Amino acid sequence: MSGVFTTKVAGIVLEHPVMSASGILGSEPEHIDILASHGFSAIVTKTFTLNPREGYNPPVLVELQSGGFLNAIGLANPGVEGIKPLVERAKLHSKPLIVSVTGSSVEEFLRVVEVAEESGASAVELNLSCPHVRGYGLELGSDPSTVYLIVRDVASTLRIPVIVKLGLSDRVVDSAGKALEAGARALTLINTIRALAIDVYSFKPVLSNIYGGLSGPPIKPIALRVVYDVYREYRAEIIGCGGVSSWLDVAEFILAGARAVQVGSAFLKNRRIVYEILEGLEKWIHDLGYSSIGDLVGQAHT
Amino acid sequence: MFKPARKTSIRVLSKGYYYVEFTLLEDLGVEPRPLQFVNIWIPGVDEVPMSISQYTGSSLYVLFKVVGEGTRNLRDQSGFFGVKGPLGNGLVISEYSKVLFIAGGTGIAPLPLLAKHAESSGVELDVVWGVKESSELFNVKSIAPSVRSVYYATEDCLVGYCGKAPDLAERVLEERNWNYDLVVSVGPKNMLLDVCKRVGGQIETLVSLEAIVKCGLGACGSCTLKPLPRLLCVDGPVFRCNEVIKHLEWCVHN
Repeated sequence: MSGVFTTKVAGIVLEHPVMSASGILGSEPEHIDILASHGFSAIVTKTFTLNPREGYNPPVLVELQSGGFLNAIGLANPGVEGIKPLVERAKLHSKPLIVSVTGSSVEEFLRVVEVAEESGASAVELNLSCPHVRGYGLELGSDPSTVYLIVRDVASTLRIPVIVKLGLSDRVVDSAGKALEAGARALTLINTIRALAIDVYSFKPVLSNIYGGLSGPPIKPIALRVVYDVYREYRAEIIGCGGVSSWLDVAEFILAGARAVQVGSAFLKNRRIVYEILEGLEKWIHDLGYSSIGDLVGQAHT
Repeated sequence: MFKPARKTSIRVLSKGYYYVEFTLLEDLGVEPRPLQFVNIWIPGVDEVPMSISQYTGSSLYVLFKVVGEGTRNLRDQSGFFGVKGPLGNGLVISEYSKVLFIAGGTGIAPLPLLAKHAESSGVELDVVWGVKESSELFNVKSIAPSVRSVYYATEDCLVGYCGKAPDLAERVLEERNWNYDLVVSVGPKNMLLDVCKRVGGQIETLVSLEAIVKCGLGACGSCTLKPLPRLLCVDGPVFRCNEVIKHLEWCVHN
């Protein structure tokens, strides 16, 4: 099947460019049912660690006045045992399933990605950028040489494609380059941005973890800039992520160089978001006189 | 963000049951429907889902039993709290004319708001309330004066009907020739399952569920109604029996 929306990223053929973002549901088989039934072309799981994690105590998520969300769920996940049921459920829906993975050591990454591959996942997305769990996240992704070591070991072990998700850091373009050099087939740019909210009546930081990751419309221009910079430097396969909440956002990401996008926060506000995005994109592509969204990737660089 | 709410009063209704009033610095933005809930943030401690017991625009009331650190602090802490919500779907009662509310334990919590909406829509509302120990009982009309009849059941058999709420409810239904067009039930899952099985086939029956609600916004998935592809915080807490019977059976068997 090849339509106006068909796109391919990391070797995975997608019926359209709107995937779910990691962290929105995605830890139980029932979540796969929910995401699949709302139109996403591929599903990215919640980030898995080797062992189960409870996550933080509430509050773990608040909506901000600015329209974004601040979260610190704390990498809650059922551990590697939980991966196979998700893959099997996604197969029932004929949706590619990408298993998001993190670890506190290269060994942990390797053990989790091996389970993902054995379970039949379409790809893994290495989360090198969780902004609120010490030892698991941004410290890894913001150091290009650490990125290289992790991605090299993972990519040389797996047959399925490796996608690397990076967060905002001063060296994100360098980290992206190292990830590609080490064997990443695609990059997801960007993760949430480390941020804070304080309640002015109780004088307390709102999240139990104090710090959280900012998502939603406030981070979109930043994510777009990173996608643009990384595409300009490497012409890499990119999945845009960060504040996508309309077809216009997707169009911008595509022109900046993304082949697909991930939607998270906007899904919390609007369960019909995927369909609304696709309607808008269809009109945009038609108005431009194009026949395939793939022909628009990176056009802002010409 | 959480809307600021100052705890302004606490009433001890009976053994272990508390009724807390929060004064809101700003209203909730929308008029909550009966059976919707809020997440109450106890700064520095926890965030707990609570059925909205009553709402006036400037005040929000919740009814609860102390079951853990969160509710203990909700009882003992003073000053400012935070409110997220209203959350969930709730119930529009004006479409009905005669409603029987069957509550188990703290399932009585949403009754005051339900009764207020019933009264303003001219809906007759009767209540069956079952508790384990008679010391938990209080006069339901003290928090929901407009309800028509209240029937009490206790498992220690010291007050009212000796037995469980669904048993008493069935008697009340028989007595009144099943002359209701809606049954609403809130309480423990085995009770809801019982109500669905015994009443659900004969009268439209809605149940309001409880689950661990962490984020309240459909992201974390903690309130998944396994094995169903539904989230309590987005799709519920109110469901028709046939929508959630598998979940109730799954919970009772696991």
